[in-house]
Amino acid sequence: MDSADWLLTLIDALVIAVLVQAGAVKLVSPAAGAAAVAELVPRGRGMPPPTAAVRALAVAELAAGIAAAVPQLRVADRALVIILGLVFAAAGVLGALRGSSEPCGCFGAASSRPLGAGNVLMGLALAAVAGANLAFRGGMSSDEAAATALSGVVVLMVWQFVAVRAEARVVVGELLRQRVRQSAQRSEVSG
Amino acid sequence: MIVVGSIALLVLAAAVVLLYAMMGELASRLPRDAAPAEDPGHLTPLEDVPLGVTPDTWPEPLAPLAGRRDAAILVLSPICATCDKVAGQLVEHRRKHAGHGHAADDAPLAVVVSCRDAASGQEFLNRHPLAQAGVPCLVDEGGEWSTGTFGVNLSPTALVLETGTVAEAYSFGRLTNILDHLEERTRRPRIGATAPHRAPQPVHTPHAPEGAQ
Repeated sequence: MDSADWLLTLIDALVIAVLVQAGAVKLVSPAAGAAAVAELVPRGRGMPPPTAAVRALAVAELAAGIAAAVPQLRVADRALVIILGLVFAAAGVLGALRGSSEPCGCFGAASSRPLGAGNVLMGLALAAVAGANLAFRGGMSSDEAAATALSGVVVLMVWQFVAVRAEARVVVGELLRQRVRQSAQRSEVSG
Repeated sequence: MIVVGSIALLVLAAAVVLLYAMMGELASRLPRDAAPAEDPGHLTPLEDVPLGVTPDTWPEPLAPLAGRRDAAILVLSPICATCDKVAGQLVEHRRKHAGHGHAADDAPLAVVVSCRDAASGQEFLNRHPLAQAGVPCLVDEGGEWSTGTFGVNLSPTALVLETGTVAEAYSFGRLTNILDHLEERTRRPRIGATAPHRAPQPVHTPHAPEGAQ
């Protein structure tokens, strides 16, 4: 693998992390996304929020994220990522035009910004990366597939750690405090 | 082989992310569920429950509510501590005021027990003999009726009905909240049919949902 391949692999890893993270969170917390979609798409009176549609989108994101590392599904996966990217960009454009105010729910309840320019940029970036991958990468060797999957895992794990760092700090701090207390008690007993 | 292993690891990582997301979602529900119990003086309007919904079909125990001008369905869950309290309050209330003839006592209330399976729903009703206290009850397996028809995904929820149509939807912490509200509604003068609305209640601001992380 040359440096260009490594660059594409790392970009793929980022795409995997974004899609898996967004898909997983939307799958279990679709309410925010559904509220944002409901604000964009006029519904009939009494119709429930489109949580099923948001969950379907989440499943597509998860599938696209995981399939990105499967060599046999490369073309289909990149096509799906392009479609998803364009859908996100279109939603961003609609949100900006209609003055969306609901949080977009792109990453579940953690997303506080409404649909707008950010989604357009993110969507276009996803579509561009997938398109470039299709155009400039002839195929995917076993090494490249393994490197993509493992890099994706690393990025995802770092993302998780960053996301729960506050909670992690509390837990680690408490463990350290317990350790210090125990050593102090031991030294008192031995003294 | 290495490819299969790497992809398996990626799937495992995705499963971990899913697990974290589920934990985050559960954590975000705790303070919101607990909020009405901590400050039970207000009803909290539920914005994500659509108003104006009229069920196509009414389950047999709830059918009498369809024609009533002011009625309420309380959606309770066997795994929610506040629901447990509310069910106990309702049984107690009905026993205490049976036949007194107050407007609030006569308020047509029904309980939908939204539960994972029929056994857990029935167990909840055995614990709280609502049917014996004269409250129509429905065991709603998997929330099929309450979620499918009304989009209710939080408990306890009170759906205030006007002749079978959802006019208001609230989260609440005490039975008296909803009884007082129903009594207040019955006193309101009516001119023809009223459109569904978000009632101008003193709104209790629920705790902001925590991030999903």
